[in-house]
Amino acid sequence: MSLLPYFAFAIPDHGKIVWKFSEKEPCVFNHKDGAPYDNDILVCYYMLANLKDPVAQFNHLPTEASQKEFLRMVSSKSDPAFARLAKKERMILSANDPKNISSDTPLGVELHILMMMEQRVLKDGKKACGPFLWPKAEDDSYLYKTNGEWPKTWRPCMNPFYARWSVLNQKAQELQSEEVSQTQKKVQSLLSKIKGFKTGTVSVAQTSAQSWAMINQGEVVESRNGKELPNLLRHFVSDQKSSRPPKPHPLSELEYRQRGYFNRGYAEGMERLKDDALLSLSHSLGLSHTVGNPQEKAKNIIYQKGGTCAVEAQYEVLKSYGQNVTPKGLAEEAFKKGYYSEVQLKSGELIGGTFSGNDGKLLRDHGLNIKVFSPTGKPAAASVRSAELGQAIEKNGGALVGVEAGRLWNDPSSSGGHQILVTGEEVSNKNAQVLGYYINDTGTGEAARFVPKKDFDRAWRAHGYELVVFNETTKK
Amino acid sequence: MRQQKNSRFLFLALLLSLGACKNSGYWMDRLDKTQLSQAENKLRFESSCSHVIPEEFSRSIPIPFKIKKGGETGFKVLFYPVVMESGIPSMAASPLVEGIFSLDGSVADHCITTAEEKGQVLRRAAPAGISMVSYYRGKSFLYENLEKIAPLYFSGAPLNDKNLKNIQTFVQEFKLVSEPGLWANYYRLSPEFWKWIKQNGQSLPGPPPLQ
Repeated sequence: MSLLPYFAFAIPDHGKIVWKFSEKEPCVFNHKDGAPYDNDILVCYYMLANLKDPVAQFNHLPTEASQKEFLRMVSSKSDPAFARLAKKERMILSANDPKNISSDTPLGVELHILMMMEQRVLKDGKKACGPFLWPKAEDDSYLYKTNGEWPKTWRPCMNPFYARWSVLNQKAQELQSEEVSQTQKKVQSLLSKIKGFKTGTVSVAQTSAQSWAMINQGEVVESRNGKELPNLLRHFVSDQKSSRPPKPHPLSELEYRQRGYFNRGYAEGMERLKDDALLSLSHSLGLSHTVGNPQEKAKNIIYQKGGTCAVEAQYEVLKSYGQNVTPKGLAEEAFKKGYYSEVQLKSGELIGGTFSGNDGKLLRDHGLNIKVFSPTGKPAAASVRSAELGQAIEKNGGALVGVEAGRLWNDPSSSGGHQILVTGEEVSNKNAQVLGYYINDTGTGEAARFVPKKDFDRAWRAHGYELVVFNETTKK
Repeated sequence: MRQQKNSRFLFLALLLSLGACKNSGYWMDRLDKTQLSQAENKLRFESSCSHVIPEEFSRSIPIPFKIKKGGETGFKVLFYPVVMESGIPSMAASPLVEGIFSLDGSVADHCITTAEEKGQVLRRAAPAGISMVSYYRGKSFLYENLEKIAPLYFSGAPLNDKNLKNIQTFVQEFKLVSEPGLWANYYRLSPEFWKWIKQNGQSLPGPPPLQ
């Protein structure tokens, strides 16, 4: 929405209250004698949000008295709305008060409740503030104005909700760190107890339920014959590797933040922690190893805006090759070149997307060599595409892959495509089978997320095993 | 007699509960095995479609159509944007592209942009509260039944009880898994097909079909 129509000034000589509006001082009324006119800012925002052209209406009124009367009329309409807002505000803040959570609530439950409150307080607050929110927030886009940020003019109404969200968010972050730290301790404790055992043959996927229960309970019976060990360690093998790659479990607060464990929600975050704990265990036992360096690639993860997944996945690749690019700059470049398009719906929402013929073109334009395996191209066999993906990870540290988003996010509402960066794969030491892949997903802001092979393949298959392999042999 | 009925009921309940134990992956695999799903998946990458459908657009359930004059038969499918915002259900916007394909080569696979305006955000993109398992189980049943009933619709052959049962299952699953915001668009895709469904004792509830 353009601000220009609101830079309208009444003529002070005619005895009017001067309408003074700018981005710095929205809704400040000054009388011709310079004295400020005492008016509630929310009344002004209500007027701007609900009347068609209040500035013109106001400025064309003939006298100061009629202008005051106009403001009084607006107040009479906004007062009931304000009363409703006050009531809703009390209800929302009371329903989303962290003090409501009893002190003996288990850590996981408390975190789950806090994360739900976090989401709710802003969503409900925005709804309650509806009549006072002006101007309308812009949608997520790198191509337009403020990139989807909420306007500063929302602050007077939204401040109590922002403040509560901030408290909830801080508390949730603390608890998330604690969850990760507790899991790390359990894994470390378990690893120290089983050190020296030569084990194997158990696939991570097969035993996840039992071994996670075991990690949770900290139950490890030390035994040299293995018979008394829990399920995970029942079987012995002799191919334990002496030097192992870095543990997939995060080793520092920074690594944990980069991975965005809880970005999709509490349950999904716990699932990821579980997966990573099992992978650490699996590495320690010499059952599997990681190809590629997912943690290194996690540093480049960003949250995409709009439908820019394909653009921002390429941003991550270019960053990993040390190129000086920005998410916004690449989105603009893709838009100009016609690789990416945005549509504004009548209702105001922006919908963006990349046409499939343009896969990997930004990488090519920035000097990388690309090979595209399109869903309709050859070879089409799943096994061939998987082998190509494996080679790309081994040689170049990753590849771009098209998947069906809903299958990756456990969300039936999206059968659309989505591009992600695969940054590594987990390979069994016993039979060299791929157990799963590590991905960076700009749609959720998650990095180094382990996805079991079966789940990955289902999401990949639904998008025709689309694959873009890249390397820097032709880099300019 | 009553005991026999009870045991039959128990057996059926056991079968149903066994079915319910399958995870969403099992149902995805089953869905992906249908010829219809494979053809529909491929469509968005066809040359006439790939430059009008952004990869991120979702696709609808295919609906059979036939042209009386030329005898062509096939399926129509809609591609539409989904508006996603954290904390609220995803919303389906008006479809922007219509895809046409067939399983027997009767019509050439192609896409056309719809005359519809870049419309308002409609309603939920997925039925409220549906789980992944229910969704993919419903969708695999839906596609399997659609593969059975579409040839009947195309040929206009008389239907037996089994065929009518398949139509009933198709409509049941359609109500369960289709996008509630797009029902009017589904009607519009192939009004003749929905008339045929109605003639055979089934119909979709909700708003009347748009003409």
